Amino acid sequence: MAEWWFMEPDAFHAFIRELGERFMLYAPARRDGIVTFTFVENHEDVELSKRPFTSPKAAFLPQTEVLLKFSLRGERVHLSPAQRPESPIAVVGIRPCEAGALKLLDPVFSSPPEDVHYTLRRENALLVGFACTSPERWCFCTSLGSSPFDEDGLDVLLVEVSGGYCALAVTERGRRALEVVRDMLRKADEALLGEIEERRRQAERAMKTLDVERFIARLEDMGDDPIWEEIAARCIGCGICTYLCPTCYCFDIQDEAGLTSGRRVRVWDSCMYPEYTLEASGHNPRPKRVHRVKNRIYHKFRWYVDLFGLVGCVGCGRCAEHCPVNVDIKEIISEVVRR
Amino acid sequence: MIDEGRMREVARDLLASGEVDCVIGYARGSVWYRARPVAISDPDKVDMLIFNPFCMQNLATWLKFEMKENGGLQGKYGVVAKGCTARALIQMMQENGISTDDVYTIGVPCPGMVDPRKLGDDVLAMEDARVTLAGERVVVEGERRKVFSRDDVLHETCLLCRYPTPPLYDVLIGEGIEGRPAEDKNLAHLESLPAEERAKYWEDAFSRCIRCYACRNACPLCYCDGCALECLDPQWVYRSVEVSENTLYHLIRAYHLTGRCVECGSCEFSCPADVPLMELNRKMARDVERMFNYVPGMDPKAKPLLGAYDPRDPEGFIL
Repeated sequence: MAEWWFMEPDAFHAFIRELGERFMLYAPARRDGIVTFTFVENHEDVELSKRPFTSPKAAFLPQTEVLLKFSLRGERVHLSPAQRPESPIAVVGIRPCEAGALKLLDPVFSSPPEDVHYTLRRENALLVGFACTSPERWCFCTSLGSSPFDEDGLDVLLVEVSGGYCALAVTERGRRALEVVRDMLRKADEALLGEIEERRRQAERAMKTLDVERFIARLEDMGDDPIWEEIAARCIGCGICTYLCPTCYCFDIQDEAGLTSGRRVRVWDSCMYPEYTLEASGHNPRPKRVHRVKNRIYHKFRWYVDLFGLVGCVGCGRCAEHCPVNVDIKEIISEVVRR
Repeated sequence: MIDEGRMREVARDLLASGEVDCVIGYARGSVWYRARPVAISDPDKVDMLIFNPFCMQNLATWLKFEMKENGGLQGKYGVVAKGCTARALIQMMQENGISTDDVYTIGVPCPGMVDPRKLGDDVLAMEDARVTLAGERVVVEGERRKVFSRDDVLHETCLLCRYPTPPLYDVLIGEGIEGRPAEDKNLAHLESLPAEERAKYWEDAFSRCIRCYACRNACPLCYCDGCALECLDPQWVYRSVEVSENTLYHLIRAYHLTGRCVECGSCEFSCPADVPLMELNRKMARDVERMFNYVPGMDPKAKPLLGAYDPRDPEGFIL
């Protein structure tokens, strides 16, 4: 089954159009000049050339999700639970690291009590991955057991080649998806296979490897190291790193109510906000930025490991790329390993 | 560009003599097109200080973190201050947020900051590079050399800047430079649009917002103790990320910064979603200037706009 198929741009568009018939398409698209992951109505809006600033986690864990609506009718309170997730979602253009990130979210939401909002979306989804032929300078997926062409967790892997794309059906679901445009595909010949291999090698070579294992081990006795104060001193405590992170999953549940009706919503939360740990008494166990910065790193690289045996970071580097004060996770890893 | 050696010397003397307890300045980032804020209290570490075309953040902001986390400022701070940074400090002094004795302003005349996004992906891909501003040109020298026009790569707020030199300082590194603001074409264009189109423009912009609060947190003048946005009872703005709540969030900020914003552009620079926040802030600033002949952050003894009354103030909106 592990066969590569060549598709010309026309076939690629036909493929996405067909997917759009059966799935809700979630893909990178340009909105007012900025590329973001979003639900797209028109398959022509899909733009794979630039990695979106957002991660695709919102397809499965929306930033805002209505769980329940309530209203007062006379003496009675009327409750209407949220609709179960809609049609299945096809995520097109998801990067290998981001598919890896979903596998990190799975244990969180499928552990009892199962979160059906997440798991239903996830079970029915089709993931059409897009290999990273030119990784960003912030990327370090190869240090975390993945790679720019990693097919693990995907249903289909697309690689950009001269004249179009090559597609690999990774799963049976992926094979069936490609089947629809079967007559527009041709088997990749030796030359194309060689090109894919060459691009894979180039992408992997472009990435420096960090010693994450040593980093994790060093964290054990670095809780009081001055490095955290140094980093926190410049942190502005915004939510960029956590909101753009494909593996951060914290949320809050709030009631938004008027006089006679309202709704209960789940919204993303961020451990970088002081309110995140603020207790009703007024006490805050993580009162300063240094506590919050340290928590973010330790959650991903220690506590997630303890809980699930997995590292809670996939090396996409978005947190560093978009940090307005240049808190750079790659630099932190190298620095801690060096100390 | 400014003399970094002189800046370091000043910082070293201030720390060594005990005149200040800490110097807030800029240091090299992890990549060549980023600089980062740094707080130094050891005189032997002042060589970290730099001033290059990527020092975009307004360092007055770091005083608010000190105030919030330590229940007030802990000693005296030397602050490396561009025109906009000094204006933010002055504005905080006007509002009694800080006192003139809290800071020592190390003024740096600012030729404007380069927006890395405007350099293009191929330039940013260079492993290392040095960027210099020379008159009308911005020169990037790395594996390749590339020359840009200043107008094409500076942050818009820097192109429009009228006060590149601090209006007030304790020491000025080098010679002051005159502001030569460009024409604000974007704002003029926005103002010329019919209301429906303007509404659509802002609806699109606010719907991109992810409510990370980077704009608020990077803002030197968003230093309120207890922000309206964190209030849960009443909850003025819901946490739902949708256009109505996002709009409310940004309008609350715009109103709270009216007559206070010093147009440093830290909010817009920090925004990951390209929300044109400065267009909103500039609109309010120009209106205030036109109606009340008031420019914030120029004189620590002046009264804040909302605390001042002049019989000539327009009152056309009063029924």
